Amino acid sequence: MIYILQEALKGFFKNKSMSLITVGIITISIFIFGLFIAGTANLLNVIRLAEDRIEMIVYLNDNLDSNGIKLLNEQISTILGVQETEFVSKEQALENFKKDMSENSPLLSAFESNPLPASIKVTVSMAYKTPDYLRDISEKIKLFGGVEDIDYGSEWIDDLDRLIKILFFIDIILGIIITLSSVFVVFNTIRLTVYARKEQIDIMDLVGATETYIELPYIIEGVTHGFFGSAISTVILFSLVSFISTKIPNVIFLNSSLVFFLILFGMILGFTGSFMSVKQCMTEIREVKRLEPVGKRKSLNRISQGKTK
Amino acid sequence: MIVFKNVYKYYKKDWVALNNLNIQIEKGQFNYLIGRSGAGKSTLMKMIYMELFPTEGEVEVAGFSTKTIKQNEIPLLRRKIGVIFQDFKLLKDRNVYDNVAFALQVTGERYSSIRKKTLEALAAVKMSHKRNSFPYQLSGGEQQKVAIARAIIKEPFILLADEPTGNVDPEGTKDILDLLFEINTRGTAILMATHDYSLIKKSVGKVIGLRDGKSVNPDDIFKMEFGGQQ
Repeated sequence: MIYILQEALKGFFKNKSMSLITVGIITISIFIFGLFIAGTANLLNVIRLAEDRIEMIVYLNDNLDSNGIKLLNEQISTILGVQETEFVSKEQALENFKKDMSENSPLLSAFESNPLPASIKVTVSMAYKTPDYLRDISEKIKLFGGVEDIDYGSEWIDDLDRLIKILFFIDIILGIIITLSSVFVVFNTIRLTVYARKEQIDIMDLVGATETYIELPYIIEGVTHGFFGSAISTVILFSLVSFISTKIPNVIFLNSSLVFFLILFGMILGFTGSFMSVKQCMTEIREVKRLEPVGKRKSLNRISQGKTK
Repeated sequence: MIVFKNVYKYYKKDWVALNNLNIQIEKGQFNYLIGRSGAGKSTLMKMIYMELFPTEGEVEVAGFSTKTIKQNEIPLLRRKIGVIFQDFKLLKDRNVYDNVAFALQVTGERYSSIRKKTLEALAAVKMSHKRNSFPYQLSGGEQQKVAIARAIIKEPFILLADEPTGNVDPEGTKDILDLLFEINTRGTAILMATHDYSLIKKSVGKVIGLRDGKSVNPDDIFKMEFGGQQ
């Protein structure tokens, strides 16, 4: 065991340039991967913020009395997908309007009476904020008496929905490309470090080292490379995102589980990369030894002749 | 101790490397393995440390058989066999001491005994004074001695030497042969493959002749090589 740890450490420090290159490449790969994850998290956040703003306003007939309003309110509440309703009276609507406009707007004084209708603000559950469900809900509400009009921004919701779908598609394609390329690059870099010591593996095999003894130092080294690479890239990523968040509001940062995931991802890459490389290297060494030696070609005919002689 | 029973070895189905080979190597015996390149000498050696397996027939080595040995038993067999090659196979980034100690370190030897055994092995091949040198600082003969030290450090019952003097100058060749004889007198069997027949001292050991993968009378090979015809 002492030997295995010693050898892993030696491997790490002896070939400093090789180790630095490996850690560097893992750093870059995980950084790009992390950047993508952070980008996706922020994209999801932006989508959520946009969807939060989706609300449905049901404008009521002026002649609807308080009982009618109460009934309507209850009826709306029973519709699937409706999370909450809130009644806004004519007076309140005017108040809100005044708040939105500046206090002494000349427009306000032009009104002799309150022109704004009473309304019910309907909050739709997150899962139902799709164009189809919203249309469905609004159509159900229209069937109730006392409803003047319904507004839920049907035009821009279709656009938003299309945009989200396109963004998701691009994100998934990008995610697959980035994941595969980082796996590919990291595996090949680790392979180089293992193959650089092919002779050592050959001799270990010859003097009777068990497979565990041959493989473990390389695996420990690979996991260490993976850990350092991903830790460094997480630090860089952390600084970068926190810098960006000072410039742009609403940028969310990698949470601790994401940081943990990135480091784990790096270590898993290091582990599988080195494990597969050392296995492959051993198989190749053995294959080479099993190849036919240089010499005269003798056909099966001669074997059979030899047997019958 | 080592028995080849009706061993055939084909490469790629129609290349025959060993052709119905039957030989036996006794405990503590010195054996020369002679034949031209391509006669099957390396194939025979690789079968002893079970790098290769017969296509037909069976090889028995120290209680293990090619027919029944499991993959995880092969390292255990190899710990009982020392192997040296024409190209020495030393690790260039380690000094002489570390190259020899390597064979113990990777087989889980107790840490405390590694130093003692390594120094003893180096003394046995008269290379103690060069223990801090690196392979590139040594002559061919010296590098082969280090390889021998690494091969004998685990006190194998047999030392396989595949053309051990192929890359060594005449003076070094004599040293290497003397060393092999000395190791043999201590009870380790030797199997030395060579196509340099001038190295053979018939008085010392048995000669196994190989031609086209078959065991032949070594005198036939001598006649063919030196007499020009059979």
